[in-house]
Amino acid sequence: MQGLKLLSSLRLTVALLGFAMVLIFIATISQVELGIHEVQAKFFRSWIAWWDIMPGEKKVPIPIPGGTLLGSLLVLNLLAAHGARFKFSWSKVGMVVIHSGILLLLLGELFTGLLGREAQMTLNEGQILNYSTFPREVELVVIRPDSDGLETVTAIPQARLKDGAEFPFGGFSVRIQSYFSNSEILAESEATEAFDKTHATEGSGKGYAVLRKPREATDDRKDLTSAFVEIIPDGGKSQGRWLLSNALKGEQSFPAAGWLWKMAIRQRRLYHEFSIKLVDFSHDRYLGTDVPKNFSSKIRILNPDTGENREDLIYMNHPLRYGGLTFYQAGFENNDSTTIFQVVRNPVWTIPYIACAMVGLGLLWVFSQHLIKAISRRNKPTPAP
Amino acid sequence: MRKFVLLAPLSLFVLSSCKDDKIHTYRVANDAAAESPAPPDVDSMRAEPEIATLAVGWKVPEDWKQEKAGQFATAAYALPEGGRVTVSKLAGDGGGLAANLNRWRGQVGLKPVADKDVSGQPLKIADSDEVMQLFNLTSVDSAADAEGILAGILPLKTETWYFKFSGSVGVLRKSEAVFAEFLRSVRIAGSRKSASASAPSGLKKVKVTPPDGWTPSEGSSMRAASFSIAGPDGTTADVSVVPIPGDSGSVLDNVNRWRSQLQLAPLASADDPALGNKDESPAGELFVSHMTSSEPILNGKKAAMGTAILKRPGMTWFFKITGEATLVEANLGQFDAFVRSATFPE
Repeated sequence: MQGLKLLSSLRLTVALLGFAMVLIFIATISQVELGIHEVQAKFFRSWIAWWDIMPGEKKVPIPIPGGTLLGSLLVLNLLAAHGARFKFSWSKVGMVVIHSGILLLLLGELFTGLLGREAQMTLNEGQILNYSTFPREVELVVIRPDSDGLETVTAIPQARLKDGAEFPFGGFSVRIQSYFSNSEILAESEATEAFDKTHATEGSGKGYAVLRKPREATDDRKDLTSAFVEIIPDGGKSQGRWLLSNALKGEQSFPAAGWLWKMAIRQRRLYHEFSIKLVDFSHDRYLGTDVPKNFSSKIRILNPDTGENREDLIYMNHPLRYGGLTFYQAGFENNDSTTIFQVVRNPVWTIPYIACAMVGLGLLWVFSQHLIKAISRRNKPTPAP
Repeated sequence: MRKFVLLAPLSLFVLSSCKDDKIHTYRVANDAAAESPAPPDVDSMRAEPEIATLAVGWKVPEDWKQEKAGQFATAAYALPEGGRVTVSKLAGDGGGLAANLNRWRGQVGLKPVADKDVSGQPLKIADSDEVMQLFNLTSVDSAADAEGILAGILPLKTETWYFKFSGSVGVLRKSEAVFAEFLRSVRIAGSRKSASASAPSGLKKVKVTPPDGWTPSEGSSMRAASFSIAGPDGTTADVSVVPIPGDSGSVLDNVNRWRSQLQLAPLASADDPALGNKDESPAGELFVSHMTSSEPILNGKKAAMGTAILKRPGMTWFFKITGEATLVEANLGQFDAFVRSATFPE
């Protein structure tokens, strides 16, 4: 009971809010060095965040409570406070609704972190795609072309890629000899001593050397993830070593277990049940200037399940919500012939709106109660002196 | 309530510890280029030269406007009522009937079909034993502005031809009959029945003198002569002489097709110096080209091609040497002499 008392104390609430302010301040400063994605993962989606107080050559990491820990404790603090002191009365309804709204807001952030996804879809005019890619995540894919014209794809996520990892397939294994989360690839003739001594013996990566590099922090730079992999038949010797990288275009093939397989490291894909075709991209400017007036993408939605085959327009501040995803106009390239959509999947996107509405209603209820009391006090006849 | 408070930390910990690091296996249509998915396959090109494909011909309606065909298509036409017809060919089975059909089905929002369920309406090619398969990739209830495709796929022994009419469903319905007429006009000049009609046998004879070291090879029925050159390290180069009745397209079209096989960008105009040179030979005017891939695309090495186009009355002769770049370049002089040695019995 002592624990519940401590957990339900208002002092803990104040302390946690204080830590949250410090965390936001540190994360904002660290964003200069690390970029927004790294900061989100390191400070807000972690139990303990290791703050590098002197970024640069000398690392002095200090542990501070991460966003997940603070958020969880705030939720528990709120629940414990109600658990310890809750007694229903109409005068407290407003406070209960306000706290429920705050609780929902905190849980909404937790579920957004767990279930939300942000990907990109890059389309050339006339191109059709049924998948988006995650710009900061890669996957190792091993593909078996099937006789019916489709392909069986086994996608190994980046979190599973590490030195020595081995992935069995029927009749052979794919073994990662060396893994580079970010790298530089150069022709062997141009490589220096700092480059890794491993070399490919098969595939299109032959003749290239790989240099290990720290992960890119800024949003405008992408990691070049690479790996030297071996194909090892069951009970046999290695068939050779391939260099796979998202810097190398296309897949590399290898024969194994009676099939001609393909493999690659590529940006991780999120497949959709429908396809999007870019019909036309427009980049309007104000007459006689280069000042952008509007970016818009005329697209066609092709959905075999619903039979939809229709056009739509995505432009600034006018995203397309379709199939549980939201497509925002995020960018363009290739002389205005390629569009880039930010594809956001957030099944709990309505929660912040509901939570804010609840807090608003609760506040309205509380203020109304106070107002009614104040008015009734004023109208009460004052006793004669 | 208190039990809930005690359970909450555990559930929060479990939820926030979830990471999407599972290995997933799924089946999808293969990643294909928009129009023609098969990358240039130098090995298959060497085994069976693409030049034989030029034996397929068709009659274009007068009001169709010829358009720039692009890197992979052989021909493209804009129809007066709207829509676009493209003709393209791929080596071998082009990756399979189902794969190509499913790619198109995806483009118009139809579900993929399994290989066993792929069946088109047969159209027998006149003067030939070959059969084209016709597909209508629109659904009956498609809105007029929905996209659709009408297609004819003609599988031949060594290659597959694709005749594709794409546009809105309304446009397709309007010009359906014209496209069907266009497909009925397709002929195979080198086929068993039409060869004698379209190419008198005398016109297909050539006498050539191969240099030492070139050995006659089996080739194919389309070849008038075929040789193989053995190089060091087990490399080989292939030499072919293929006659095609008639004009057989512009030099630019032919060179761009060869360039695409070497994964080189197409040339924009016939004035580009990379196109090649005109030359004279005892048998007539030649157009000679030489091209080398910029990437190692043949057994980890660069590939090269030497070609000569010789136009004779009623027949165009294509001489070609292909293979690993070093071997081809070492034999270019002999290839030139080989081309000039050609004589044509009357």
